[in-house]
Amino acid sequence: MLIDLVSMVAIGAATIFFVAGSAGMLRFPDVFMRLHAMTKADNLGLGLLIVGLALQASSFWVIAKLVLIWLLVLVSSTSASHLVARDALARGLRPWRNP
Amino acid sequence: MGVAIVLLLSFAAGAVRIIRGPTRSDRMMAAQLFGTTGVAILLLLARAMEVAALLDVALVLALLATVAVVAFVQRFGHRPVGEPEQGAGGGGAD
Amino acid sequence: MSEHEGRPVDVWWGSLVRSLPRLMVFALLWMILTGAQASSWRIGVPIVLVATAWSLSLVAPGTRLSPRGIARFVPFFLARSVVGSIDVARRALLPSMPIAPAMVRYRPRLAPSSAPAIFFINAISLLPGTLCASLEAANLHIHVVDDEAGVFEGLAELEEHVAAMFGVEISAREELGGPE
Repeated sequence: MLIDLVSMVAIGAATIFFVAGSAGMLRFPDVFMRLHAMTKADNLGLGLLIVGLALQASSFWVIAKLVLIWLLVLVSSTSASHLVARDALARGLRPWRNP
Repeated sequence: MGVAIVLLLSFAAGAVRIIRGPTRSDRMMAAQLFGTTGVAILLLLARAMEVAALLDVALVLALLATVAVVAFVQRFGHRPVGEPEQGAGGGGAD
Repeated sequence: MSEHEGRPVDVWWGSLVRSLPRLMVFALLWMILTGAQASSWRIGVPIVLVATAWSLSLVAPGTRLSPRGIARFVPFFLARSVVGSIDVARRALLPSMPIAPAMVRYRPRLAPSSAPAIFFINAISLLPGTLCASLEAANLHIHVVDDEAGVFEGLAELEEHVAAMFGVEISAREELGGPE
């Protein structure tokens, strides 16, 4: 089935973004850069995963619930990254600069 | 299921950063890690094990992640601008 | 009926009409949570009504989203956030890890701490290379992955999309900000 193939591709791509997000978490030099990785890469990862799962979903309401979860995570994750970054600045952390 | 294992490893890698820090700001990202990768793992498990209730668990986790990060920053965060902090040792070392 | 504005029954009717969108949103949420099972409405109807009333008492109806604004914002935002995620994923995975972070300040045109401004601040963090760090009265402090000139253009464009979606007017682009 074509839909199954597309779904598998989406879930595979999602995995790459989660791995990239974690690579950023480990490799990036300061908390601000890590927030970029966590917020952007992981959210696209989750979005792709939800697309992949929605293609296999049994009913419209399951798809709606998946989309609702994604929207909640988007709001939660972006507010979180803003709060953590603001707090990091307030405690005197300064962004890492290229040497 | 293989995907779930990769995500679990990715989750573990994120957890390494949270445990290692080095700053308290890095540790605050735990809530975000649970909120995204944690939710993703639950969604995959819901599908693989065909337990629809895990979708509701993911939904609740997504909701709680929002509250958790606000609580983290409130509890462990730096004082808001305007309230001077007395010395670096006042709030405990990072 | 609208000719007799101010009669108690019309005021009542008007507030009922204005609370309808929110009632529909809560009803839809209930249907998503329960998978639209008919039997769930025995609990659902009271809960949706209480939620609507509570929500109206917390936040009065007022913000009207423009359907055209939404229709333009969603594809713009999806495309930009996909670009943003690919960009940061690439930088995280490449062995050379090409980054040149910096802080910049951006002068927002949306009214401070209004709903559109808060929405804008959250959306910034999903755009390519930008992360909103803090806001003061007149400036947003934004962390950028790579201090490229295109950042301000992207922020201004996002801000205009958000303004259009919330149906608010903002001034034309002038001095957008600069390095810190």
